[in-house]
Amino acid sequence: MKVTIKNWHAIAQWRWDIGTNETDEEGDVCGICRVPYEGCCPSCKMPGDDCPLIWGECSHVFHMHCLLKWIGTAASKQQCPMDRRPWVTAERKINNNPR
Amino acid sequence: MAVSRRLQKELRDLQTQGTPIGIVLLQADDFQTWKLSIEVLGNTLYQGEKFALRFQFDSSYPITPPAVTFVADGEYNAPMHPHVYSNGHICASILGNEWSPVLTVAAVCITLQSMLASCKVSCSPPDDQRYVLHAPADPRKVRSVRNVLWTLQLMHTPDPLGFPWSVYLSRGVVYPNLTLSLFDCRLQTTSTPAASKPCPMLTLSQCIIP
Repeated sequence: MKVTIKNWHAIAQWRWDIGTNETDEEGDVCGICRVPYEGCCPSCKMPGDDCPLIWGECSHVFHMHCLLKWIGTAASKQQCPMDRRPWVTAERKINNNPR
Repeated sequence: MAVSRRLQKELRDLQTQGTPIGIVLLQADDFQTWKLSIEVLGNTLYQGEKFALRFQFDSSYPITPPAVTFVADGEYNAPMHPHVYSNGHICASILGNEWSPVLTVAAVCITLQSMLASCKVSCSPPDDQRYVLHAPADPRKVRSVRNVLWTLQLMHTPDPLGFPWSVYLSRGVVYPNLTLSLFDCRLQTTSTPAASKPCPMLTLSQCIIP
């Protein structure tokens, strides 16, 4: 039997490169909003480059908007929400393109 | 909107994965107020007792902490604990200064459960009666006043009489016992003859500029 392809459409999936090889089915979530990294923070509508992630030197990852909202409050004392160490953004990661 | 999305997720997790042992969801009809019952398991001072916690969320949750109190309405009573006032207000750092947005309702419940479990002496805070008389409805408001007084304390080492008496007030407090009773300015000032007037409303701006 001969098969002729008349029509096809491609589907692609993307993930932020968070430096782990885990392909957890659930995916990791932002600890602040509990939305997967590949989703977007509660104030955004479109995931992707407009709602990027932010990495700390302490290795913790959040939606950038979620973390900035927290760091912007006096109550945060500029500490990482996970380990309360002073938040230092890991520069090298920030301009990395997603895989 | 933002608040309910995060809370919706928490609610779904509690319903699908279950609540921690000893914790039961009593009421979560909306995303403003939740009620959970809490029991301390094992051999503790609170064996066989059941308490209820009320969580109140505002739109900035989880950036700001929820207001968490023990229910004290006759049906439930607040536990007798050195950090729990008889009106249900709780003195716990994670509900104030040490709040973090990665904490959840379940995590708060577990923390309070272990606070009760580790208690050795079942008694009310030393200033309970005074506190309950003057406490605001929202326990988070108490902490903000306390923080303001602390700030002043650190900013100035004044001659007590040369400074506004609210500053003097904060100096009059013994540090190791710095508790929520600082909110109750009127009673504190009676110990200083120079300041027998009632405490005016303390606001952040008033306090920062002495």
